[in-house]
Amino acid sequence: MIDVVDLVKHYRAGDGRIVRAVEGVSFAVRAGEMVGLLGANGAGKTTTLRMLATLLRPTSGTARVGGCDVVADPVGARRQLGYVSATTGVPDRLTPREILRSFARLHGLSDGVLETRVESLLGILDLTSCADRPAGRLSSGQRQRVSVGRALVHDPPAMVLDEPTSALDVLGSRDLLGFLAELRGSGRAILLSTHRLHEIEARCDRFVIIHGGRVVAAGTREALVAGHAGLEEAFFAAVAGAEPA
Amino acid sequence: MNDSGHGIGGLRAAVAIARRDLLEFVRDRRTLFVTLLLPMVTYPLVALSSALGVRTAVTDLESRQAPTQLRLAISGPDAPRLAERIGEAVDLGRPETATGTAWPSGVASLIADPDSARAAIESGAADAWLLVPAGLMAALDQPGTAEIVVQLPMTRSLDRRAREQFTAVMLRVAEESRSRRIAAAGLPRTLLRPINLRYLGEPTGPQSVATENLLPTLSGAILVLLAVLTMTGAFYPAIDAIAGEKERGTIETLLMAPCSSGSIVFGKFLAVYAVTLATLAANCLSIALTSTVGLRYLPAGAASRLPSLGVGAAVTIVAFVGLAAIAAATCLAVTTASRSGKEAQNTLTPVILLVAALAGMALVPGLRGDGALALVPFTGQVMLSRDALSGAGSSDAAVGIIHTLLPLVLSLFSSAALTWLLLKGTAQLLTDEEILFRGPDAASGVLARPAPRMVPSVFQAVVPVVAGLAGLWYVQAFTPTNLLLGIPVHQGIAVVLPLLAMLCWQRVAIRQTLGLALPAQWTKTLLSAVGAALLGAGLFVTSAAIMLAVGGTEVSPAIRSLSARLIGLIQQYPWWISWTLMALLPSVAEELLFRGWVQSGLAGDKPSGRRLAAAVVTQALLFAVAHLLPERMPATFSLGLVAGCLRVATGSILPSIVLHAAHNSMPLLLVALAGSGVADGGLSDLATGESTRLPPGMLLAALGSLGVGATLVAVSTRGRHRASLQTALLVTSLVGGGLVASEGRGEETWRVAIAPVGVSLDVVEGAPTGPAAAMWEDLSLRLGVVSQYVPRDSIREALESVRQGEVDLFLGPVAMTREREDLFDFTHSVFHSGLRIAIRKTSDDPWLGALSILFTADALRLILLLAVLTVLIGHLLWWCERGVNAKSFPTSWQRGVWEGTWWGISTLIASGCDDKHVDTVPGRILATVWMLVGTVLIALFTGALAATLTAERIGGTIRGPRDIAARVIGTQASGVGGPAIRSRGGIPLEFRTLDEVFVAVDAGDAEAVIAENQTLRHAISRPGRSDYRLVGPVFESLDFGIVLPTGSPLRERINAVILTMKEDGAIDTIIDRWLGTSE
Repeated sequence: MIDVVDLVKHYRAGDGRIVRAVEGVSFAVRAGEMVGLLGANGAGKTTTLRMLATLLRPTSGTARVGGCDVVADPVGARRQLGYVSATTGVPDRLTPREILRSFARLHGLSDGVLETRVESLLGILDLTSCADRPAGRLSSGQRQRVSVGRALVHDPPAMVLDEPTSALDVLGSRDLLGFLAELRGSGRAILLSTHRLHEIEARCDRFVIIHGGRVVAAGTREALVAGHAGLEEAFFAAVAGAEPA
Repeated sequence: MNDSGHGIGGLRAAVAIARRDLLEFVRDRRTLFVTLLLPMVTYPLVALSSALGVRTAVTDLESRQAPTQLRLAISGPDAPRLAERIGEAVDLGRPETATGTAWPSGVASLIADPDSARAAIESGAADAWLLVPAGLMAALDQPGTAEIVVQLPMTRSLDRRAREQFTAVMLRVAEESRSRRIAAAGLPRTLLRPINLRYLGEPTGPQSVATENLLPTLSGAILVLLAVLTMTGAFYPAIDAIAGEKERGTIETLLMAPCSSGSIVFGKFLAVYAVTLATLAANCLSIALTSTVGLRYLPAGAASRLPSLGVGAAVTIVAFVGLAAIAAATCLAVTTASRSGKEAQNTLTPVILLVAALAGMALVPGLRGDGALALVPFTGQVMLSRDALSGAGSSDAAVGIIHTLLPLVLSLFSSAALTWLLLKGTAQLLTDEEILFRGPDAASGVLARPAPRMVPSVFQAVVPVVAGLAGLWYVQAFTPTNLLLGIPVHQGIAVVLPLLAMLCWQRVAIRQTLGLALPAQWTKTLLSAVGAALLGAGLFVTSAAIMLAVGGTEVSPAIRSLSARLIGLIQQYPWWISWTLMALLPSVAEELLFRGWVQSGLAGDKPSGRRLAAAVVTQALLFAVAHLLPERMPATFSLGLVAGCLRVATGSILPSIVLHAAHNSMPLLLVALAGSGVADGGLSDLATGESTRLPPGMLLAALGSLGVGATLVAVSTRGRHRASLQTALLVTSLVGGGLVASEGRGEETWRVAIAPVGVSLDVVEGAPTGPAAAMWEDLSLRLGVVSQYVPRDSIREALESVRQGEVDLFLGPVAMTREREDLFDFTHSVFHSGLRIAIRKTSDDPWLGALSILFTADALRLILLLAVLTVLIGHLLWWCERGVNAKSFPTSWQRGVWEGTWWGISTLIASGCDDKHVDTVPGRILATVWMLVGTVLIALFTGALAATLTAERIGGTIRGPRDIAARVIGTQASGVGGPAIRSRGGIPLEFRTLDEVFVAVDAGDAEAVIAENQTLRHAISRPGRSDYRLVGPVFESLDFGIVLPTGSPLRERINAVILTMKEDGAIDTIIDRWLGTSE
């Protein structure tokens, strides 16, 4: 469902230096699979996911979402994808219901389908009780759920989540990850990044570890952990192995 | 990203986005305040303050124009009886024609002995002292002339009104005596009074004048306010729509929508535009309500003109619908380019001031909105509306509609085009990764040194040229005319300083950027240098030839004066001084800047061939423009082009420096040759650019020099860029060859009738002189014909010769009238002329006049007061907030007050400060008060400005045909001047000759002179008329053309050349040179 081949992203920083954020990353996420993208801060996670979300243009390489190339057919890719990041917010002065409605309309849902879709999403995400309060007065967990609802409004087969739990407390993260697991169960491909390994350790089918813009290790939990005390140790080893000696 | 928007329609997505944004906007209190509340408060205040201002102005004017008492001291035996006579004359009634000031309200006669009378006039107790001889009264009734000596004050000058009153009263006394004599002779008293004028209708008083002038001025001021408030309406929505979304992180979610970035921007635009239109509507409603309710505060008479405003109001609304689109799109573009809401607000505040300045241009008197100005955003719409409002219902309806509609359509078109461009740019900006994701931290300061690079960026390449031009503009008043100092100052400011500054600021590879490396072998260096020198010398001559072909033989005063000073420099100082100044210094400095810094920067590091060619051409264009001599642009451009090619071909700056130095040395060499008698004066003419024809063989020698030079350079370089050099030289030689070919064309002879024609043509010893002759000289040169002149004594005879077919044409030029058109053919108009006004007033620049209003003591005091108040409010607010609201107002005095003051400024101009909130109750009370103060102050300021402008127009000087009304204007009798003055409501004072008109104006009998434009220009350039100047545009237009027999085949050929001469400004230059400088 998500295919990334040799993806490269360079950009010029404010002081004129060329920053090599992503240097040839390749991986794939199949339908019904949940993959964790792991990496330290600055490893290139966010840049990779933003390229998938068509927000950044790759310097070279290809990325496909549901068969649509993000460069050649960005609009097609966007229809196949729901994207949530730690920084994506919700408009303060609108209510969750209005937010979901407006995005449903933006995705071209017809009025009849739109109302049922919005109501069911509000129900699934446990937002019915606060559906008509301005989003500015909601808790951060509720706001993040509105964000996820916004990304799901057009029922995309793939979800990309960039540190979705970083602003949430333990309870909030658990609920959200549980919900994502349900989505995976319904056949969606889910790619999420985090640097909190323990949260997703048990939930993801596979992991991709990137460091310095390159994939340094990938595979199932079992394959990665082999020879190490746990996933965290495996991660450190992979990262340390990638450092120039 | 890719803009191929399929899936759901782009428009539908845009509408969905617009709906969502609108919902957000209406929940924002600030938007509602700016949109609805602000207009409702502003206009009533403007109306009230304007009414007060105009009332004061009218009262002031009335007191200045009210009749006063004439005070006379009279001494002598018959004094009491003369005083009685004068008193009777005054009481018998003011003449109906006299205006308020020319007739006294009464006469106070002081009958006194000579000593006290003298004391009275010197102390100012009396205006004049009449010494009455004995037996005057008896003499008055007898035939003969009685003499009365009038002593005027010696130590002070009598004011004009008293003098006019005295003259008028004494003329009246004389007229009375005349009537008595006639009666005594038994003739009817009416014998010498064949006409008595009786006026019906309302006399023009100061109040109605004020009302007449009030509406245009007031509507101008209100329109400026309307433009600014409309823009303010887009302020918060635009910040909210994009910069705010960036801050909240919701822009990513929008960019993920399945539509193009263009659709997103269009949706945002629709929402912002809707709010802007709502603001506009609220403003218009407020204006409408204010004008119906509040007009009774204006002087009487103003209200009666309102019903005619219908068309004007419609035009205004349509024009402002366009303006609102530009305002919305501008705000969107600015906020999209900003990384945060704070940055957006900081950028938008100055943009609003800029908009106010653009809109304020409409207040400048004399600018008209129906030309290219209609296309300028904000200025165009305001000016258009102003004209439509002030001229509504005045003239022929059909003409009026066309005159109004065309600029309106143009303005709407320009609004739409500009909006479209802005939105297009905004869509690009929206997906700009740099702005989207680097965040506010990445915004490095402008002054921070950029990272080192090999060659400058394109932006940095152009910066020193722009900085140099700006520097030149500001120091032009101080640049010494003496070239010994002038050239170094010029070069230093325009070239050396900017280049040095860039070199210090931006770290680049200096050797590569400036091309300091020499070719590897010294033989190659020598070859290329010799080749470059030959190229430079040849280029000078071919450029002169090109200029002759393109620009004709006429030389503008600027070039003429520069050439004269250059020749002076050459002759005055040793050769090495002038050579250093003219050749060495400019060539080194300019080559390092243009062929070094600019060209390298434009080309970039390791450029492609196409990029390199573009860089060479662009730097040559910049080089040509930076010389600021439009006539010489072909020459400077080709020099820049060849030098740029040399730099590319040799990779070194040295050959281009040699080329430039050789080029600039040519005038020195030519003058030296001419001086030593080796060659004739044609060479020094060539040196100064004044030659009319190249000396024989010169062009061939130059082409040879170019060819040899190019070959040498080509041999010295084995580079791959040889082709570009050769192409440039090929073009140059082709042009040169074309010139040589054109030299040898056969000549034909035309018979040209000449006769004295006003100021434009005179016949001296059978040859023509004057501007028409100069023009014909150029024209016939361009036509390639030789003229055989046929002198005639008068225009009539010359015209007769044309009709008889004795000549091919009559040079004239003659005014094209209906009757003449039936008998002859005319060429295109060579002199377009008309009537013009000259006044005797020293400084009356309409721009300065309008600007000076802004810099009156009152206005400055208001601004100062505002500044002090703002700082004060900054202190107060900080004091209220500092404890609890450290985020918006830091605790430290220095930073806190700075933030507080910034809040004050922001609130004053934009009614709020986006990134600061006020938390404490006293702080909020303070903020509310300050918002109201801001609204009131800006309203008062606009009102005061309108009132000042109105008062200025009532009592001010004549600035153009519009100001003629109710003024006494001198003109020549039996011309078109008299009817033109009358049709504009003025009072013509006609004289036989123009000189007499000037005498009348000198004496103060008339306020201005109206005559044919060229004649008037000529007349005021005569000695003793230096304090006259032309004002206003040419009006009552007349066209003058060359006369040909009907059906003449020459007409098309002459017309073609006339059009060329008009386009390249040759005709204007000739007229300027012969008939005084243009204004």
